[in-house]
Amino acid sequence: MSRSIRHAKHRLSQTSPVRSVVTGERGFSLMEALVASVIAIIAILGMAYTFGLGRGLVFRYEIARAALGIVQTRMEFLSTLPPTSDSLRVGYASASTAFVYEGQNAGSESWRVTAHDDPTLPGPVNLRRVQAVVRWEAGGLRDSIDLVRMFPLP
Amino acid sequence: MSIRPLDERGLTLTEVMIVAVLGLLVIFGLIGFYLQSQATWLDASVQTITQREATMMTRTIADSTRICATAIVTPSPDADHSMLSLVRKGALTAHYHYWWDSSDSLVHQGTDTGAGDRGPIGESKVERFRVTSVGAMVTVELRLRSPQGQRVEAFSGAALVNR
Repeated sequence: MSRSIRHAKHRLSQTSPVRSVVTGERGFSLMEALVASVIAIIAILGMAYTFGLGRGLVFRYEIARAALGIVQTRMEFLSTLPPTSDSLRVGYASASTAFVYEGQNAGSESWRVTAHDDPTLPGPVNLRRVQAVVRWEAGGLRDSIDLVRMFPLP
Repeated sequence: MSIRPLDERGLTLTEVMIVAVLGLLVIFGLIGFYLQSQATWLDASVQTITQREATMMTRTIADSTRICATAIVTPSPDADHSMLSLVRKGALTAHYHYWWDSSDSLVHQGTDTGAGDRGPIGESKVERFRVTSVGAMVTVELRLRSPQGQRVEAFSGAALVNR
């Protein structure tokens, strides 16, 4: 490049009001920044949702623990009854009673007795299958817990 | 019109200020989110631990009850708190007790309430320790308060099997 041309180019670059596009330009475009922001917001909202979900599960298992205490107590109570009790008669289904948690009616509790055939024991019906169940609804979700125990025939 | 050389580099004060303000907003948002997440996590963890403790307490009492023949329940010091005394088969006096201690609001266990106190069976404050005994059944109703102030209720029953 001749000296005169170089001199002219240098003068033009210093005096021209027109901005030229620099080929080595670096940085992010507005679109890239917006897309990154949206992805970051989605990630943060997802994390926040998981925290809420975890809290909901803790509450759910809180009631489930209380319900487990109720069915265990019911089984203990039934085990203290005499074998000839009507409450342990095959085919018996108890009426539903209220499952109260923290002073509020959270659901219902009941039990039923059915005949059970244990293949290792002689006879077609050799045990009584007692199933105690607690059902409740919390946060729009229906849940239940049940315990099964075999009682000998009277 | 101002003349700016094409090889000019760096940031203007206004650009730096805008970036700094935006950066601060993002940092404050992240700090708020972090603190909120930590609070939620702590809240849930403490409540879970309290729930487990309530289950452990009711199971401990139920296991002790099952091996006994008689249960003597007395309100102590009020109707919301009881003292459970367990008597073994053939014995005349109770060999083990569970009671609520008003000095620390915890349920204690031991061979007696004085020198035989083996300490509390949990670390959560107990607001209610109500025991009832009907026939062969002993039921325990607990209400615990976690360090975060949440209340957890537990209910359990055990039969006096060794009658």
